[in-house]
Amino acid sequence: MDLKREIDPPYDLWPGIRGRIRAKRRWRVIGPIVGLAAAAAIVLIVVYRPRSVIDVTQVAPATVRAIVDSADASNDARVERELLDELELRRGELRPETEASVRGSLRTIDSAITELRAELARRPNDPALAQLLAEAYAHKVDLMKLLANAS
Amino acid sequence: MTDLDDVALVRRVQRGDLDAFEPLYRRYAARTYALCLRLTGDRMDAAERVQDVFVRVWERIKSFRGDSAFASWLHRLTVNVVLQDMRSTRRREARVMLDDTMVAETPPVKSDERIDLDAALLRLPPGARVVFVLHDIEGYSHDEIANLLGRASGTVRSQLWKARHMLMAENVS
Repeated sequence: MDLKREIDPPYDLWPGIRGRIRAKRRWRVIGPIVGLAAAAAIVLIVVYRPRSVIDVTQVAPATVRAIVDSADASNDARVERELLDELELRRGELRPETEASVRGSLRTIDSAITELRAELARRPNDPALAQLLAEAYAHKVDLMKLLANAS
Repeated sequence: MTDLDDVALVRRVQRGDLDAFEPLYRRYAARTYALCLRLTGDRMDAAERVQDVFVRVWERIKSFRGDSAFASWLHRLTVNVVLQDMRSTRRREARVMLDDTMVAETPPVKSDERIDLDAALLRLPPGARVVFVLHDIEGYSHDEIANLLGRASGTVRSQLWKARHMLMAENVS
C-alpha cells in the first residue's frame, strides 16, 4: 500500500490554534465576571424597585408607553435564541461553572423582567419602571454581545 | 528520545505554557492531518479538524497522565474529535454523513491505472472510508469501530467489505 504516514497541512494551522486558545483564556477570565456583573446589575434592579424616582406627572403616559414598546421590540425572540445558540456553540469551550453562571444570569434577567412587567401592570404610567424594563432587556443583549465577542 | 522530549513538552503544556505547545503541535501536525484527511476525505475539512484537535488537546492535556505515549493519546483524541464532528454535522444538516449514499464527486480513475491509496480513499463513500481507515490503517477492531460510530458490528464489517472491494476495483496498490 502506498500510504504516507504524514501529510503536511495545506497551510500553517498554528496561528489559528494559538488564537483560539488565547480567546479561550480571555473568556475564562471574563466569563465569570460577565455572569457576576449581569447578575449584580439585575439584583440591583430587583432589590431597588424604585417607587417612581421621576415625577410621574412630568412624563406623558404616551412617552412611558413608547419606552415600554421600544423595550419590547428589543426583546426580540432572536436575542434569546442567539444567546442560547452561542452558549450551545461554546459549550465545549466554557467551564461548567461559567456556563452555569451565564445561564443563571439569564434566568435572573428574565425573572426581573417578569417582576417589572407585573409592576408595570399596576403602575402603567411609571416612567422609572419602563426605563428599568428597557435596561433589563439591554442587559440581555449585552450578555449576548459579550459572549459573541469573547473570541 | 522523541518520547522524552514529548514528556518534557507535555509537562510544560500542562502548566499552561503555550510556547511549549507549538513544538508539540509542529511535531504531530502532519501525522494528525494525514489521519484527519483520511477520515474526512476533504482537505479543508481536515485542516479545520486538526485545529479542533489541538485546541482539544490544550483543554484536556491535564487529564493526560502519561500512562501511554502522547502520540497514542493524541491519535485516539483525533479519531474522537473527527467522529464527533461528523455526528454533529449530521445532526446539524439532518443528513446522514456516514451513510454510503454520499459518494465523493471526484470522477473514478480508469481501472488500468495504478493509483495511490490516499487518492482512492477520497473517492470512497464516507461511511466505508471511515471504517476502512480505522480498521485497515489504524488497527481498530470491528467492535471498537462499532462502538465509536454507534453502529452494529455487522454494519461495520459490511462497510469494510464494501470499501475493500471498491479499492480493489480501482486497482489500488
